[in-house]
Amino acid sequence: MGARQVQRIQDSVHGLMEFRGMETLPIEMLRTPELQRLRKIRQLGMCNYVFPGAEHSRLSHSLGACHLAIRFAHQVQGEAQRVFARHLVPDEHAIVDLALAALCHDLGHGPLSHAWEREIVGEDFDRKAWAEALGLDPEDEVSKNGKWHEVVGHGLLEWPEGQLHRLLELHERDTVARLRGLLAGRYYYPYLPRLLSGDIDVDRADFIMRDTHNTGVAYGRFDLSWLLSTCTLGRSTDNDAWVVGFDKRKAVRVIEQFLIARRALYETVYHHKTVRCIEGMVALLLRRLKVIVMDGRSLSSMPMLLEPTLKVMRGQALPQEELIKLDDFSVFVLIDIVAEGGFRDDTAQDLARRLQARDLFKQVSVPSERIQDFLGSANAAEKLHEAVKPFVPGHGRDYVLLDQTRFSMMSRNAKHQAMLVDAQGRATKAIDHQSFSAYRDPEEKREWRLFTVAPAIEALTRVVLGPSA
Amino acid sequence: MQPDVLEVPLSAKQMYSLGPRTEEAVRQMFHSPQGSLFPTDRMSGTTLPRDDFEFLSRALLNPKWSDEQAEELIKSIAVRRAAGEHLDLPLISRWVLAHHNKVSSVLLCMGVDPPPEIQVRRVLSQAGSQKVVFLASWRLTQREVVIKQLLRADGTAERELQSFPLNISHPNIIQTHRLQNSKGEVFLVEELLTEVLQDGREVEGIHEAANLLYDIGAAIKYLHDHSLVHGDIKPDNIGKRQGDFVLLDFGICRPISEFVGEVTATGSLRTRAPELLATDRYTPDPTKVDVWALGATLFSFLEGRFPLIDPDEVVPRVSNPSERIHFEKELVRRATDEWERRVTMEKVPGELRTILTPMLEREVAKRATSAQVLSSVERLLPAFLRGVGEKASKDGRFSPLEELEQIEEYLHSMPSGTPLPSYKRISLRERLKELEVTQGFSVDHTRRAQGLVESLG
Repeated sequence: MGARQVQRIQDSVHGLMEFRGMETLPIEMLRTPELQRLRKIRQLGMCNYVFPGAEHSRLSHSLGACHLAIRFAHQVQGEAQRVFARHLVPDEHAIVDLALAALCHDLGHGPLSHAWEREIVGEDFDRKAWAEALGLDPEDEVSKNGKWHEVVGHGLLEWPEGQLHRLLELHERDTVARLRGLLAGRYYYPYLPRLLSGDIDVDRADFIMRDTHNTGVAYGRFDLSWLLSTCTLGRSTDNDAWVVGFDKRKAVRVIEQFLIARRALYETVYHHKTVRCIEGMVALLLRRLKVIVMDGRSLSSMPMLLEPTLKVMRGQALPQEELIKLDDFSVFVLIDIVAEGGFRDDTAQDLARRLQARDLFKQVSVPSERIQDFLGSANAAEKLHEAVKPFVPGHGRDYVLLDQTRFSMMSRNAKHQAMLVDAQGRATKAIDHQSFSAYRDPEEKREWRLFTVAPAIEALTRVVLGPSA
Repeated sequence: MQPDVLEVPLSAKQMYSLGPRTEEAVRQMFHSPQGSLFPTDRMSGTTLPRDDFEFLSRALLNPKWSDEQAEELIKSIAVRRAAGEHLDLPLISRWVLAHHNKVSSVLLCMGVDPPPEIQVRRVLSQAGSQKVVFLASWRLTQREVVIKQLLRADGTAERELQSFPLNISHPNIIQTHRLQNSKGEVFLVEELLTEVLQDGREVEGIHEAANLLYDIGAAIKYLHDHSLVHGDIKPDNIGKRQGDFVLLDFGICRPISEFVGEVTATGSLRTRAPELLATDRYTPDPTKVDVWALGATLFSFLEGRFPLIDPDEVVPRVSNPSERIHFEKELVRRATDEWERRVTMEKVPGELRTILTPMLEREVAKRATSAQVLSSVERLLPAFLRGVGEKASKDGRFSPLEELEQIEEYLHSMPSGTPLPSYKRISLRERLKELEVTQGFSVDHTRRAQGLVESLG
């Protein structure tokens, strides 16, 4: 392949991103429909309803992660030269693999990412059917345990007719197998996957910076250059294996800054109550549409664009050629059609119109613990639906939005934990360092919130808090 | 002024708790017969409050000095004060902390007057009678360094200053700089090494022995190529900088032309070449004494004794001339009568013996040159050398043996189901095939390399 010597991309977050020599390969891949699809999926879903600047796509994030993967890989390469003989130092092949894996790490995300995956596909999606539709081995680790978007991502990489697959294999045979291994945490430099998936990885490093930049919040900042320059290799005190980590003497504060930046973004952006409310409303609409479609109802004239979306709603697994048509745009077209009365369903039409007009549900001001207590009582869901019913066209369940946010500061999975490397080259878990003792919460943080239409707020509050309220 | 008007500062009074002798010394210092050593306020006639004894009293009390030593120190300080010498008490306090109960060492620190950019931290050693070595900080480079002031009473000490080749720059030769204070006294400033070898040290296998021979061999060859002779190679003149051996102490180092017959042999008796023992004069090729001395040094690490000296035998010092002359005669006798019995290499591994034997050759003419030593290490033991010879890794960081061990660990640590890409498999296999035939590898090493080649298909 006639790769150019240097490819330059101006990025709003990282400035000039230069890709040189073999490292231009990820840029060559950008022309494939598999990656171009990510241009039509927003990184932050419906966040732009609250933060108007949050319009950036998954493609820009993937490119940023790819750029960071190259920078981190060069740093690790330099460190490896100190501790390994020449033939064991990660070379440009490994750097390109890492860059490609970073570029493809979000390949399988569906429209509006999370609402789609939660409501339409569901956590209990038919793994076997999807694996077969995508030509994956159903016994494969990702097919068996991966999230839906991971299964789809692997499926798109493995798609023999796909341009991405063919271009990758044209570059070098078995590249796809290596990338899939790398994304699943297995690579022939066993310490490199931690850079892709861990407490501190290129994915997080990019999205923290990019989302901060585009939403305009002032919290999510960290010193990337310092973090990079302290990245090194050490031997784990647990099993003596080489791991990627950060210089214990220099990096503790920047790691803390990174973790806090991520937490701030979760609290102020991703888990912003209005953002969660809109995403939840989209989810309610999609859930309603799923019922309608499963019911056999259809549109009088079905735009081709919507077919894949409706098929997934019906519970069908899609092959890759249909999957690449799924994007945010198709969902927005669907919302428009429903708002125009497309499925002749009052509830769906009402929800769709509310989304169009940004006429949102309101939060029921009840503390998370009280909601949790209430949910533990008998027939809790039915009570909520009953309370709302008088105020809405249709069933109460379509207007009660129970939202649960989850967040954990540091991973408990040894493969993903950030490591600190001391002057003697010994690597220990950052979570065991005294600076991070406050983040050692045994469970991830969960918070309940309840939303509904404005007129039903009072009724719902009374139900949750009991008659005394 | 009435003596009892003078106040002893509270901080100095703390020293009283060291004991009665110290208390008396402190009192005397403040009630000196020459009058108060400390300024008094002319208006009120009272002693001005002083707190510069704060550090000193703390240093003497933590950990606590003995009464006798503290007394001696206070008296010395008082004498210097009385003589009008400016004393930096906080600095002295640091020396007091660094040399618990050692008045002489503190006095040595006080006695040295280094250039202003050097600050003495502590005495490192007092090798021989001629020079004191200090640990110091060099502000210019912001590094800890070693400084040596050569006492000027003795001719040999002067010589180190005059003959030392300061333009030497070699990775296995210590970095040295020359500085002067305002009085024109000359100091040598050297890099601080992580380790200096000692007699009785054991080498960590053939790997370290090969690197010692190669590194110091390279330093000696460099000197010889520049027509210089080191003249005093022995364990304590070899240091370590991380993994590299470094040659130090160039007190006797001079051009070959100065090592002429009339010059009396110097340098340690432990590693003195037989021709110098016999004649006490240098031969026409004085470079060979360095080769012998390096051989004898390595011999001592492997055999636990120097070639002509018994284990644990104490060599009389220069300060004891009669015993020393007697001992030298004994060495001459051993070199003549007991050579075969003493210069044996029972504990020396085979490959090393081939290199060490010509280094410890009795006849000067037959003895190996430093260049020959170097090339035989390269030829016979490349497996253990970093960055030497064709087969060593090109970046020179690891010896073939280390590389073999790394590849072995790498392949064994590969998670199952992680295939190596073909280019990687081929490059590792080819590298292992090169390593397989490395000179100096044992049968076991070769077998391990072969096993890995097979596993790579």
